[in-house]
Amino acid sequence: MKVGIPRGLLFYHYYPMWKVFLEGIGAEVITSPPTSKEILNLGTKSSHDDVCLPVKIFFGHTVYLAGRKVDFLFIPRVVAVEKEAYTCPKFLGLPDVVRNTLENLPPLIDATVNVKRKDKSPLKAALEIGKQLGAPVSRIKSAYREACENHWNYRNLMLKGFTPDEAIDILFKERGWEKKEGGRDIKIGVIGHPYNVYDRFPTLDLLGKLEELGVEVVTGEMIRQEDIEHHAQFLPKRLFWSYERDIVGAAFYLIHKRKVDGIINVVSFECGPDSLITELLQSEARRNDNFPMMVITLDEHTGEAGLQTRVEAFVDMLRRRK
Amino acid sequence: MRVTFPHMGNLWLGLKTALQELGHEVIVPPKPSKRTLTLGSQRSPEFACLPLKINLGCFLEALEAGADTIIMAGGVGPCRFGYYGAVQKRILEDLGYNVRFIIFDPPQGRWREFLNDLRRVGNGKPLYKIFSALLFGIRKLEIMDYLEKIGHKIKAREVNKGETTHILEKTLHKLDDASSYREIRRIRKEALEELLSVQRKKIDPLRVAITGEIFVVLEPFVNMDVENELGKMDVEVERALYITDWVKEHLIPSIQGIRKHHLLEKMSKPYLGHFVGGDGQLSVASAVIYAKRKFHGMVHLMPFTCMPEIIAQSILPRVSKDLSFPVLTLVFDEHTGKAGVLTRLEAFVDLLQRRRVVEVH
Ligand code: SF4
Ligand code: SF4
Repeated sequence: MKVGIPRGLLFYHYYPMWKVFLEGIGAEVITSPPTSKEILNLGTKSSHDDVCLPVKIFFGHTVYLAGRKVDFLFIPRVVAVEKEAYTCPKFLGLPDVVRNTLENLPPLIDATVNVKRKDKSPLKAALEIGKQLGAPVSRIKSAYREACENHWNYRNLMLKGFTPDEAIDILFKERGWEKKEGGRDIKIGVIGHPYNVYDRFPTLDLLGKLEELGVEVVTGEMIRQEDIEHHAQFLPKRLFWSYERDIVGAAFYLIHKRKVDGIINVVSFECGPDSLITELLQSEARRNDNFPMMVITLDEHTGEAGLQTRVEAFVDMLRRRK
Repeated sequence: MRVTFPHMGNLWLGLKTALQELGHEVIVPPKPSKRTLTLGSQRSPEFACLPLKINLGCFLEALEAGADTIIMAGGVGPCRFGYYGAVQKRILEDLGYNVRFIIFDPPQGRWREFLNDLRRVGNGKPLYKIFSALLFGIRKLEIMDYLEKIGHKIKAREVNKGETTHILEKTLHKLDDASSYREIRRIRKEALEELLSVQRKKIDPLRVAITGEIFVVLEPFVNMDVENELGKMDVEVERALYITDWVKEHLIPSIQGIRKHHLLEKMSKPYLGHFVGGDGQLSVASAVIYAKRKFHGMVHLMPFTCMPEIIAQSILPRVSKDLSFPVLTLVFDEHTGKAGVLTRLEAFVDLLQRRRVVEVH
């Protein structure tokens, strides 16, 4: 049985866990290739104009997989991953929007995960999915345990400084990675949703560009959760979106502790949460002796030349300040 | 303490009444205008949704008029509204204003914080006084909602366009001045009589539902006065939401509210199986409900980038097709012009009329 996992949105947060779980209950996992012009076009054609870029990209991956004869598409409804917060409203409605917008879809695996409710815990969701795929309960439970363990391995690799792509390769291709060291005189925090920061296509390979410019990059996933939690508390009010709270906590930590020379905040045009948290980050940077921060807004028309110039200018500026 | 709050339709009437009852000096911001919008947009994050920008514009205008305390509703997500206050506070601080914010988060289990805020607003008055002040404010809003509902029917039929609106506006200000239940009962009765004596045509108008994000639905300045414009085209409208629904949902959890919630879930279930914050589920449910009630069409209003409504907007074409129920979505931001909205409304009404003729034959 083939299950397709679109390479977009929460893929970057949870792919290893999902893959290990699904394989553990006997499915074959297929993913779409990295985002490309074709995938983006598939997405813009099939989704609503006013939707944010990451959702359009997700639609592109979904359409791609639907055309690859998978038996199921894996699009869970992730409502809440902690008791006191939600995810973005778009995740709350994602399976419905996919189902009501796209034609000729294979059946969806759209179990709800909502830790605010006992009947929607991750384990319950796992059991529901396992049942949908016809696996016995004992097997589901052991696959679930293994998947959780894998999730922490994944997180730990990212804490050590690997990007999701690298971490996934290490986990599943058993390939070792050498971290490049040396010759990096400045450090930049690249902060934003993982599906923005790490997707090379819409960011025009921002991380690669920075590396070429001799910059050491720190992302939110490389920062310990305790530090993120601690610094997120400086917000005027507890933020009720989990992933965004992580973003703010990470940026605040880097700013307050002067851990980097500057911050690049990657946001998508038409992103609801980003529109507010970027304001908070900018305000916090101003209040901390004008801590250097640059905002890059991604949309489907982001131009290579313009971005390159802006990034170079920012890096030069940071070098001069040193 | 000179208190103010943001505008949303007639909300000011209820809030002003309640706060004055508690002995506050109340500064009602000027009605939202081009200036409000410009002021607000200049100072707001570029991609914030329209209500935040207009709210901020209202605050800036109220501060000019001497307000020093802002009362604002809060929330615990998942839509942006719940975090508006926190961000607006930060923006005003960064602009150098020294202003006190009282942000009301919905009780949802945090009764202690809620009661604390309530006491601050309560101005040292005992709890029962606070509630009776609130109830008096809400009562006025209920009367306005009731009269507006009747007004929708009359607007479509009135001979002299604008007459109904005039009566409603007059009533609004009379209610504002009223200070006893007796007085408001009298005002209600008079207004009702006046409304019913409006000269009407004998026609069977098109019936169109209005739904969407509550702020845009309730604020005529923002939605280009779509209700009245439809009325001028002899269309009878019914709104899916009224201000008292919002107030009650946020302040007084009621059985009625829970029932409504279940109804929404049931009606939207085949298309949207989960709440998505804001009024997104309501918008989808509205299409199902009004199609069942044999309305001729529905106008769906939303601010640009509104997350819950983008979900509804993506799903509505399917609902519309399945139920053969025409839906027009209008998206608003600071650049929206009235002419464009009118053209689209006229085209939509045309379409509905043509469909009706076909049906009859
Ligand atoms: S958080 Fe922003 S970018 Fe992500 S899905 Fe929601 S609106 Fe889109
Ligand atoms: S419902 Fe829409 S417009 Fe209103 S606050 Fe939420 S996201 Fe903004």
